[in-house]
Amino acid sequence: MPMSFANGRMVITDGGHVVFDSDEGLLQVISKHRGTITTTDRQARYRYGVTQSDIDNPVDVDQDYVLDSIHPEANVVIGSFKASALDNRGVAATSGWYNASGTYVHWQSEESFPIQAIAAYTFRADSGALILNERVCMYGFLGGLDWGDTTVTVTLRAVQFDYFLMVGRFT
Amino acid sequence: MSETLHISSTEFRASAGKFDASKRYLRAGNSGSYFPIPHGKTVDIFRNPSQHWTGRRISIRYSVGGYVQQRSDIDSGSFNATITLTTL
Repeated sequence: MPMSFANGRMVITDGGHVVFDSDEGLLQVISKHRGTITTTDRQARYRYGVTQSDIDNPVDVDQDYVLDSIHPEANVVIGSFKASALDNRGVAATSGWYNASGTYVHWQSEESFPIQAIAAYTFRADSGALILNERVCMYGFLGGLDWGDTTVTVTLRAVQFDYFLMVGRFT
Repeated sequence: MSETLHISSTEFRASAGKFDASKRYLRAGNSGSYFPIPHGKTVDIFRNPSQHWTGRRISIRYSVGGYVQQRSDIDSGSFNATITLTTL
C-alpha cells in the first residue's frame, strides 16, 4: 500500500518516495497576485564647502509598498518579477526576471573607500498584507569627493516592478 | 461524477486528483529538507548616521540557512533570514 498509519501519523509514498507526511507542513497557495508597482526617484547630495556651506543629504529609506490584502496567516511569497528602470539616455531597460523569494539587490556601488550605496527590494507576506519593501542607502559623495564647492547629486532612478506572485503558508 | 478517493496497491488520489501520490508537493519536512524558502528579506542593510563622514559605512549582511556573507571590516549585526527548509 502507498500509505501507512502509525501513532496518529499518516504517510503516503510513491515508489518509496514520501509524498505526504502528516507530521510535516505542505505548502498551501492561498492567492495569486499580478500587478505593477513603481518606486520613486531617490537622490542624495553632497558638497564639501570652501566658500559655501556644506551639504550632506544621504538617503536612508526603508519603505513598504502595500500591494494587496492577503490571508492574515500567509507568510510565504513565491513567484517572479521583472525590474525595469530608465537608463542614462532615458530609455527603459529591464534587469530581467527574478525569483520573488528573498531580497533582490537592484544596485550596489563599488566598494571603494569611503563610498557605498545599495538599493534592495523584498516581497513579503506580513499580517494580511502583500508588501514590497524598498531599502535604499546611499551617500551623495558617491559621485566623487570634491573639495571645491561643487554639489554632487546621486540619483537612483525609479524602479518598476512587474510581478506574478503566489502567497501561501505551510500547513 | 468526480473521484473522491482512490486507493490501490500503488496509487493514492483524493478530491478528484487535487492530491495525487504520483505528483510532488513542496513539503516542510522533518528530515531530508534542505531547500530554504525565505519569509521576507535575506539581506540586512544598516547605515550608521552618527559616524563622521570619513568613517561612514553601510553594513550589508546576507544570511540564509547558515550561509553568511557580510562586510568584515565593520559590525554588520547578527541578522539571519527567517526560512522554512523544504523538500519535494
